[in-house]
Amino acid sequence: MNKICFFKILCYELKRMLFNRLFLGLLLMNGLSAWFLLSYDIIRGTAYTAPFSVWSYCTYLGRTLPVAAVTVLLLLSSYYSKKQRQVEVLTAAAPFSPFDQVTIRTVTAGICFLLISLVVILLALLFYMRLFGFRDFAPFILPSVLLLLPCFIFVNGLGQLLGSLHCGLIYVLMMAVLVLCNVTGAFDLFGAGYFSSVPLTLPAGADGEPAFTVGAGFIAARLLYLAFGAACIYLTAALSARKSRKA
Amino acid sequence: MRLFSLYRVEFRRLLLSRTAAIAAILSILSLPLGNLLTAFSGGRSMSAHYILTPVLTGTTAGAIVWAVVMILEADRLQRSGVHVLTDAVAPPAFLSAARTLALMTLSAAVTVLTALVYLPCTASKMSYLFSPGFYFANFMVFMLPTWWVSILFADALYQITRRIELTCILYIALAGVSISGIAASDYFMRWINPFVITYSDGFPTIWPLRIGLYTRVLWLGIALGTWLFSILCIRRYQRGLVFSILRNIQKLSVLIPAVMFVTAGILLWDFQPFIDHGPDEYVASDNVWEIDDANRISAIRYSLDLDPATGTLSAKAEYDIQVPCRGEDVLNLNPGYAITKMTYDGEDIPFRTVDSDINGQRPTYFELPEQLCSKTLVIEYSGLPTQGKYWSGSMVRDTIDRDYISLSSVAIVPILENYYTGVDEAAVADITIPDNLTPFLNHELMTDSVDNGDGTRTWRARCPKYIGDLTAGYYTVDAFRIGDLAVDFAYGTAYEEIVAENDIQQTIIDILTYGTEHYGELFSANNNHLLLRQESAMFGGGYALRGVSTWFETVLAPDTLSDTDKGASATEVFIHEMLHQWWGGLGLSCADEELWSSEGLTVYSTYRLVKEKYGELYAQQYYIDAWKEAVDEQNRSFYNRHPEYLDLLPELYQAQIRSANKVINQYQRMPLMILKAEELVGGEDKMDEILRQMYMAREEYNYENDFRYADFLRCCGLTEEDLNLE
Repeated sequence: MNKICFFKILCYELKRMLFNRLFLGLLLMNGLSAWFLLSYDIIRGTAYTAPFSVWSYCTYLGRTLPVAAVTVLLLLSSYYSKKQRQVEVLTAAAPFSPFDQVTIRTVTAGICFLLISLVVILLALLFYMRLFGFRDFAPFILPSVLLLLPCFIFVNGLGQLLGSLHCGLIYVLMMAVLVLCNVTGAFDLFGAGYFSSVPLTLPAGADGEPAFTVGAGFIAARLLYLAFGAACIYLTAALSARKSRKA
Repeated sequence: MRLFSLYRVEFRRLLLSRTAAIAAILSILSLPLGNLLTAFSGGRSMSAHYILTPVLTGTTAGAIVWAVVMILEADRLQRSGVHVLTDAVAPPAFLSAARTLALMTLSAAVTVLTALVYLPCTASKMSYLFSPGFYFANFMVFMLPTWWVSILFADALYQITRRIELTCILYIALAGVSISGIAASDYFMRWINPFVITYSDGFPTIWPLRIGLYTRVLWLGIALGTWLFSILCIRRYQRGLVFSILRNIQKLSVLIPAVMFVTAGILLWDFQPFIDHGPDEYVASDNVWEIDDANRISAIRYSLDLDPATGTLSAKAEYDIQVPCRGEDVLNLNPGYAITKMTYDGEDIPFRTVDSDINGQRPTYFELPEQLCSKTLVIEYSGLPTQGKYWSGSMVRDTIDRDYISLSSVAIVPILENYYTGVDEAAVADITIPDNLTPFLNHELMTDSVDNGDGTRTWRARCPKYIGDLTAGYYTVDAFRIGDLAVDFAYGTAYEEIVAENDIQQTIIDILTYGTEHYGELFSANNNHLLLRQESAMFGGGYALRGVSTWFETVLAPDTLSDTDKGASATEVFIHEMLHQWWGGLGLSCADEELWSSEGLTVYSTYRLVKEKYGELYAQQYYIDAWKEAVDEQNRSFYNRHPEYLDLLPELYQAQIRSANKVINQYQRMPLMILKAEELVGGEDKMDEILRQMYMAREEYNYENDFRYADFLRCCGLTEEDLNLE
């Protein structure tokens, strides 16, 4: 498939997804839940740190991630619904490989996830600026990438793999995501538990707050999630290719 | 007839449905989850542990389960693609109604079944405290209507969206509002998880059931209205939502009831008679009353008739006023009461009540004609007492029930701020209540009564113009003496066995003896008389006044008394409240400052007594270590390190953080500072000597000249820097 065709399909998929009432509703819900989180919880600060510390910001982002992850899974479920399977015979006839198809789905879901994350992050920045007059946002960039990227790749990869096996499994994964919220320590997929508990174990600095640091274990776990998610995406494409060869 | 036959088909199908069976099993099994997730730690009444928590858990869990079933059932025809056929056979609105009704019937049957399944276990666990009526009422008031509301909302959302995932999202959002922190202490917003503070074993009140039923009716109205509106969203001619609504809206027979039900729900919410419409926080008053010498009342007669069947009070207050105030005057009453008549010298006088509730009071303005001779002002009022909004999330203070009555301040008699009586007990109160209750007026046991022969008894007592407390319940009063001190120990009749088994009387003697030996004779007893009274668990805590110590109910609960590892909490509150007879209350009058108050001394004294009673290790673990931990947390808190940011927060958060800080300062930081003072002055014996001297000098201090932190430092011969914990 040439690049023009790929981008045409990608644009079509994006249009289909972004201008969908479901997505807009979910985006609104993400925004609302994030604002409530900021106003009722993060405003107090995490683990005795400032509400605008990187610790509190990461905790906030981590708490919004389960909702964003469920949103991505809901969007993915539409690719693996029964109706979608019925038209698979037609889409299989299109001149693009299963790898392209999975890539398009991943990019579409990724852009949706990015949009949601942007809304969530912008709300936090607005909140910090308006309430505390805080504007030094540069330290937030790297932790944001560290939280968002592995989480998306993992949820998207696993979601696509399970969806390709059985559409009902995506809903099971949604439930599992809610369970994953409670995982603490290095393997905390969303990071909220990690970033709200680690500062309690660190000594306070001159300004009374523990310096922001991320443990090697946590980074290794993020890389593992990233690799696992990427492997799932590859496996989904491979399974899909095998299926179309059989057909 | 058609609807009924459809309903019968649907109900029979549901009875055989595997999904419905699973839902029923899940709903029944969910009840014990509440107690499993929140490990029982004592401090709760048996009714709260064995009835309230399971029922509320089952209510919320079941509501979600039945909503899922409803959504699956609503989507079933569309999922299988036969809706085109069924819509041709029966109107979709009828099908939807039959399906919803069938599921509601099934959920009702499951509610009864759930109650029956847990009945033997609950009855045996609660033993003599078990009341079958109260047990079943909880299921019928909380569980069943909430399940129905959930089913109606789920079906309505599906009919509106026609998409299973959107329905789920909207339902989660709707439930989320109820479960989130926004509705934490809101009786009315919590539609899926009803809010009940707790239950009392010894002093049962049906107030939670009353407000529970009211909120369920309110939400049923809103849910039914929404469901009827959703009928208007049923798709027509395979067209979209907007087109279908425009076509269906012509059915006024559906639209009008839909609007009526929703409006009724909203009106019920707005005009609810349980909580006043005042601010969420206590508002400090800066009113300074100019009481003229002439504004004297020579005599007062109060006549109160309490009706437990309706929970209302009908009362008359008569004031013999020597010389009335000039100009407009004001009286404050509970916002739930309405003044039915106000006369002065037999003539009606105009008055106006203003809807500006503050601190659980509503003002009424009136003007008395200027006459120089003594006339009688008569105020007749009645109604259902409301709870002040600022305390309604933590306790139930004003309630009139068959088995328990608790009224405070303006929920008993009006407050006429501008008048004074000049004598301590200028009033005579006649109070009519059910004849099986033991009443206390202003914390004194009432003794003089007349049997009315109709199941009620009228009690008479002399009292001051202001009545702060009227409590009546099933009390047993044990009277005993410790030297010259006469003690009345009043506790719930339900606790008779526990009091006898645990030798509570001896514990009281130990505490009073300890206090007397260490700090001196108890001056705060009223004419050498002390009343120790158990309060209902609904009250939320204990307090001490002149000659009175109260503590909350669960201090005497079996689980509390048998749990020796639990640390400094419920059982020791008993000791704490008793020690307030020496510190604060009307012992040594301490100033209430940010850091210093009577609480610091009382907590320290409790620690010393506990140390003597349970040993040094116990006291170290549950007192000193706990204080240090709390103080350390406070020191680390961002807003304490940067108070300039605190001012940037919304007022509500500022108030919450400041109030939490004050609690830690008074209950943890101060005791730790006193402990440091103990080390600096030369040990426990020396500290006891200083405390004894402080207590003996109590007459030098009063509410105008409180004992302050500086006085404490002076007594210890220390400076502020000496006690700095940093």
